Amino acid sequence: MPEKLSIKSCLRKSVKILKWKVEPGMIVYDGRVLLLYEDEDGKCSKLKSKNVGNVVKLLVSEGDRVNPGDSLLEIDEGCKHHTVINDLCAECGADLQKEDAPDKEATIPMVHSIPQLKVSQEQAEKIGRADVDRLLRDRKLVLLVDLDQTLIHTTHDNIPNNLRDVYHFQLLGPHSSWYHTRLRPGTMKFLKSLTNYYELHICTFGVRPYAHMIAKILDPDGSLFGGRILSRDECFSSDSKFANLQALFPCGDELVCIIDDRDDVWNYSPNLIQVKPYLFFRNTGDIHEPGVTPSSRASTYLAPGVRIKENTSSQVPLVPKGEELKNIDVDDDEDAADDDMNEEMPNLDEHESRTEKSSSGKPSSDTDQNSAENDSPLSKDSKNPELSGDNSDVKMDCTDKDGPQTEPEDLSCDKKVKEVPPDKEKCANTKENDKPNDNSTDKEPSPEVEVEEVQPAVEPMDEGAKEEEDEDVEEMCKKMDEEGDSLYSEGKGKTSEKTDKDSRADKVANDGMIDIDDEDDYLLYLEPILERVHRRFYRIIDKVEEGEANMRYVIARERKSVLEGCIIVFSGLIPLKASLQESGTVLLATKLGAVVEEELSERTTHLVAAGRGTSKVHAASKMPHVKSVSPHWLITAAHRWEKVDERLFPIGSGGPVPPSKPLPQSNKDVPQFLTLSQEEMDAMSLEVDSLEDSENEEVSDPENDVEGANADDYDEENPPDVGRTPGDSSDSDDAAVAGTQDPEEEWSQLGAEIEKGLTDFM
Amino acid sequence: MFYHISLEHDILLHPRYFGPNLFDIVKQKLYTEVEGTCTGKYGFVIAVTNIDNVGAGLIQPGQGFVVYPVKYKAIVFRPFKGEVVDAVVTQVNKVGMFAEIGPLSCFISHHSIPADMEHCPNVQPACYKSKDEDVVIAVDDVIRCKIVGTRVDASGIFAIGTLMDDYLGLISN
Repeated sequence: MPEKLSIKSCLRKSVKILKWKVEPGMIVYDGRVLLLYEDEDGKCSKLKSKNVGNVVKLLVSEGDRVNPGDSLLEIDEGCKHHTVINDLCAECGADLQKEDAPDKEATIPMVHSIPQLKVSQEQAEKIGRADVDRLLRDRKLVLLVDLDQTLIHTTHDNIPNNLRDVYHFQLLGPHSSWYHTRLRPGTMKFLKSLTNYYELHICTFGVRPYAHMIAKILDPDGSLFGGRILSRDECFSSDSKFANLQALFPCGDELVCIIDDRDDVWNYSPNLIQVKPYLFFRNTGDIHEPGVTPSSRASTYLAPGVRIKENTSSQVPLVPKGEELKNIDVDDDEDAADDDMNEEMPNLDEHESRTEKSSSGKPSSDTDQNSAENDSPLSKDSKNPELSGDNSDVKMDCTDKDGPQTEPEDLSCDKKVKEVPPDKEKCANTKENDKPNDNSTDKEPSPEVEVEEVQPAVEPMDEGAKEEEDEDVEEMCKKMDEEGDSLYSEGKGKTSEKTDKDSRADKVANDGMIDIDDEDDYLLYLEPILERVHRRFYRIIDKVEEGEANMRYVIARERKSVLEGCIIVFSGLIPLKASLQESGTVLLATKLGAVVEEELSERTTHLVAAGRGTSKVHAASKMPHVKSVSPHWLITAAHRWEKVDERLFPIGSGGPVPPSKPLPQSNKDVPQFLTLSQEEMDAMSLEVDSLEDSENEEVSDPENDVEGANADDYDEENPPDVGRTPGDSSDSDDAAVAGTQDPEEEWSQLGAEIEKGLTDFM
Repeated sequence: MFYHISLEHDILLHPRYFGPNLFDIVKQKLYTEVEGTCTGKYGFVIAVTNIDNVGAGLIQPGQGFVVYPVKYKAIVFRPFKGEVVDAVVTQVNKVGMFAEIGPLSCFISHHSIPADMEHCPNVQPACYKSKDEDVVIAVDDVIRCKIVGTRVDASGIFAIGTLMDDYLGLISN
C-alpha cells in the first residue's frame, strides 16, 4: 500500500507560493513541476518534485509564505501503475521490469488493437463508465460485429478475378496467398444505417492484418469502426471471443449486442443475435474457424492465388450463395447424372433452365438447346414461366402468393434444397449444376455453374442486365440472374480477362465484370431486428416500458415476442425417446416465445412436422385452427425474428432440415439460440421414411413404423412415382439417385425423401 | 537528442564481391546494415555521414567470407528521460494517445494529458478536446511532449510521454 507522504519545502529560504501546478488527484513524478514560487529577491522559480505519487491534498494555498521545512502537500507515495504499456508505467514512466512489482494491477487490455496497453481494473471501470454514460447520452448501444460469414465471405480458392463486388487482396507480400472477399449484399447500407443506433466494433477471428484490411474495405474513412477492431491477435482465447467482452466492457455488457453466425464462440451469451451464415464461395466455410491454429490452416492456404488469372475459364467455382457445403457434394454427383439425363430427356433441361438462373456464362450453345427445349411440347413449359415469375417476385417480401414453390430464401442453410422442390417434381436431381463440367460442352450445366443463383438480390439491380434477364425468362424460362448488387461497392478486381467470357455476353457487364446473383437478403431482416432491440432498450431507459435496461434481457424479450401466442406441437422432429424439454427444437421454439405442447388440442395453433403422413398431421388437417408447417417455418422465424407466413412452408417444403451442430453441453451456459441437432435430424429422416410407408398403408400409428423404417423404403415407393411422371423421367430419376448413392448414401436418401414428399404434394 | 558520433561496425562480405569495386560494396553494405537500426546505447542510427576507415579484411577460415571492421560517423537519435520533443499523433483512444517522434513511438496516457482535455470518440476523427474547444488534438497533429520513460528492446525504443508541463501540447502552425 502506498504511504502518505508530506513533501516539505527543501528550500533554504522562506518563499511565497505564486501558483500551484498540481491539484489533488494528479500524479506527480520525479521532475514534475509542483509550483511556482517567488523568493525574497522577487525571482520566480519552479519547485520540482523528487517523489512519485498521487497528490492527496495541498497543504498551503497560493499567496502563502512557507518557511524551510514546512509541509507543502501530501501525496500517496508511489505510483500504482494504473496504465501500463510494454511494461512501462504510462503515468510515471517507471520501468516495471526493473521494479519489483509482483502484483501488477494493470491487466486489462482496453484498447482493441493494442493488447500491450493495459489498465487496472479500477481504471478500466472508470473509463468504461465514461463510455457507458456517453453511449446513453447519445442514445446508442454497442454492436459487436463478426466478419466471416456474417458480413463477408472470404475464400482462398481460385476464382475469376472479374466478379463484381469481390475484393481481392494479399496480406503477406507479393507472393502470399490471395484472399477473395465478397461482401454480403447490402452490407454498406446496413452498417451505415446502424451507426445511428450503435457504436460498431469488429470482433473477428481473422488475424489482425486481415481484420484491418476488411475494415478498410468496409470503412475506408474510419467513420464506422474507428479503430475498434478486435482480431485474433488480441483474443485471449483461440476458440472464444467471450473472454474479451469483460476487458472491452469492464462495466458490464448491458449495452452490448453481438451479431455472429455462431454462438459457441460467445459461450451462448444472451447478448448474441445469431445470424444466418453467409456463404458465397463454394467449398469454403469459415476460413478463420476458431480452434484451428494458423499453422494447420496454412496448408490450405497454399493454393496460390496467383492462379486466379489463369482461371477465368468458363468454370466459376462460385457457389450460389447460401448453398451448403454438403449439398455441394451431392450436386457434384448429381451433375454427372444430370448430363446423362439431359441427353436423354429434353424436358429435363427445362427443369434445369428454370433452376439455374441463366448464368452469366452461358455458352451460346446453351441458348440453342434451351430454345429447342421450349419447342418440345412438354407440359413443363407452361409451368416454367410461372416459376420464373415467382422467383423474381417473391424474393424479398416472400409474400405468400405462391407458397409452396417459392420459399423465402432465409432458410437456414440450404438454398439448394429449397429450390429443389419445384424441380423435384419432375427430376429430382437436376437441381444443382454448379459443378464445373468441362465435358458437358454444350450442356447447360457448365454455364449454370457460374451464376446459378437466382433470386434477385434485394439490392438494386443493373437495369440493363435485368432486361436481358427478362428476355431469358421469357425465352428460356430461366430465373433471373443478373440482379447484381453492384450498388455498394465497385469490384476492384484486377484487370479482367474477358476473352473467354465474350460468349456469355449477357452476364458480363460492359466493364468486364461478372455480375452475380446473390439472393442473400438477410441483412434486410437483421437491420430491423437490431432497431427493434435498440428501441425497446431505450423505451425501458425512458421508463415507457417496464424491465431492466440490460441487453441480455431486452434481446431475450424481443425474441420472445416473435411467436408469442403460438402453441406448437411437433411431429416427427423430436426423437421418441427424448423428452420434450431436452430437445433443441423445443428450446428454439420456446426462445421465440411459443408454447410447446405434446399433443394437439383445441388451443394448438401450429403443427411443425418433418413430413406428411404422421397421425398428428392427419389429425391436424381436420382441425381448421391448426396450421401445419415444415420445420423451416420455425428456422426462418428464428432467423428473421418474425412470424413468417405459414403458407410459405407447407409440410415437406424446404427440403430436409440441415444438420446443425450438436446442442451445447449442459456444462455450458444456457444456450440462447438453438437449432436442430444431428441426432434429431437422423431421427427425423428415419421417421419420415417410416411415415411415408405408413401413409401408403394407411397406418395411423407412427410409432410402430419407426422400427420398420429402413433405407430401402424408397425403392419400394418408386412405383407410385412412376405413375405420376412421364416414364422416361422416372427412369432418369432412378439413375440419378443411384449415381448419388455411393458417395453419400445419407444424402441420396434425403433426396429421395424430398422427391417423395414433392410427389405426394402434387 | 541527436548526436554525431563515431561508431564501428563489422561488415561480412561474400567472396563473390572480391574485385575492383570491393570497397564500394563494403560502403554500400554499411549503409544498408546500419542506417535505421537501433541500439540501446546510442539510440537510432539516423544517417551515416562519413566512413572514416575500412580496416584490413580478415578471411574467415573455412568459409571464404571476409570481415571488414569499418569506422564511421553517424547521426544518432537517443531519447532521454526528461527530454522535450516534437511528435506527430498517430492514434487517439480512450486510454491516451500514441505519437511518433521520427522512428520513436511514444504513448501519452490520458492522465498525462491536461485534465481539461477530454476524449471525444464521437467526432470524426476521434480527438482530445479542451472544454472550451480551442485546443483539439487529433491524429496527424503535431504536439510537443516530454519523455518520462523509455523502454529499450531489441527492435527499438518505446517512450512514455506527458503533456503536463509548461509549453507542452499542441503546436499550432
